[in-house]
Amino acid sequence: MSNAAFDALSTSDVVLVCVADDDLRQSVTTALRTEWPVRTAHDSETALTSLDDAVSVVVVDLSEERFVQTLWREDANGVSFERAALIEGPPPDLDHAGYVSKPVSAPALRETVDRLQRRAEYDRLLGQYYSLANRYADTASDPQQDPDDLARLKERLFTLRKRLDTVADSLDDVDAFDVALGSDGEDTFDDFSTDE
Amino acid sequence: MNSGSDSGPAVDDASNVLLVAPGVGDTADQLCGRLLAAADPVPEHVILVTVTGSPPATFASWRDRLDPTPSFSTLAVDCLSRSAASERAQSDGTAPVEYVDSTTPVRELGERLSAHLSEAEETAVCFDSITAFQTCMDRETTFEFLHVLGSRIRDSGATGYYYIDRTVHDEETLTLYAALFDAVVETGTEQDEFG
Repeated sequence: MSNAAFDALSTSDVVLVCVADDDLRQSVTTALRTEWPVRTAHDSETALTSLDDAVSVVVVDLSEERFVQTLWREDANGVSFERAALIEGPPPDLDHAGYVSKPVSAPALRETVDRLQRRAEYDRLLGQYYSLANRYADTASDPQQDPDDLARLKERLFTLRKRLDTVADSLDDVDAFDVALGSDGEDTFDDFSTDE
Repeated sequence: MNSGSDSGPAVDDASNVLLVAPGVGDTADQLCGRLLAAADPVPEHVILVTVTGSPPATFASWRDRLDPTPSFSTLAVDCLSRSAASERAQSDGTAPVEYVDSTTPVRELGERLSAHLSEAEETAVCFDSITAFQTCMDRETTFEFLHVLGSRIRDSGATGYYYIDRTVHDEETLTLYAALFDAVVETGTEQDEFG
């Protein structure tokens, strides 16, 4: 596997594919790896071992109870990530869930993961922008500020802001507000695993 | 405060403007009115977003100064009590008030406001206020929410004016929020920077 090579590039858009069935895991991986670095796991233990900060999207086969417990959540191992589910039957009526029905269509899967990647990126960049804006504000209020430091921070803010705005523009309202406001208990993904 | 921005041309091109006033309500409200009157073109529609649950009484005081007079609407959310409004208070009849009743009022507010923005007319949004909002959510969430709001406003070609109360926040907080905006206008200082 060339995962190590991908990881060496300090990427943070790794997709972790958690599917027990070999054939399904293979076809999902094939569909995704042209776009993003992919790691695979056939059980929870392997999945948790592979889950680190570089992972932004986790694809879970929801028919596998073993994965549902450990991975069908917003974070694990102190890592937060977006989730896509492979499910039997039509997706539940939740517009913005990352559900893909089996048999899995490669374009549908890619489109779902692409949207989730943009959510993950927005989340990351928002956090970075907030941190940077705080640093700038602290420096600017410091009577002994270094003007070069301040100028550099301002420049970085400007650059980061452009990226941030671009990603925000690529998300629809529901996704954008969802990322900014975080999950506040109304997430119904958990309901799905009880087969509603 | 450390914004490096000034009023005038910067405000004209801005999509999102921070209004720093000593106390929200009357003072900030008047400032918004003046900015709208000076806007080119004057907006056709003004959306007031109020976070405290009740529309400000002074809303009508500057409305008639705008020529031509825009249509007005209000989105009111009470994120503190998260309660459903049991009655819809009538304003003076010409400015409908939409109460956001929801278990997730902030999210609902954001989505409703965005929906209002997609109407194709010159729109201004007056956000009353960042200070009130911060009593409902932590600073980081407020900051991030404002970024989304700002992106929606910018994308639709509208202009957003956001009040913040200088007397409540420290200098660092004001500078922090300024990072989200294209222009900053202050009022109530020795030298009123606007006009």
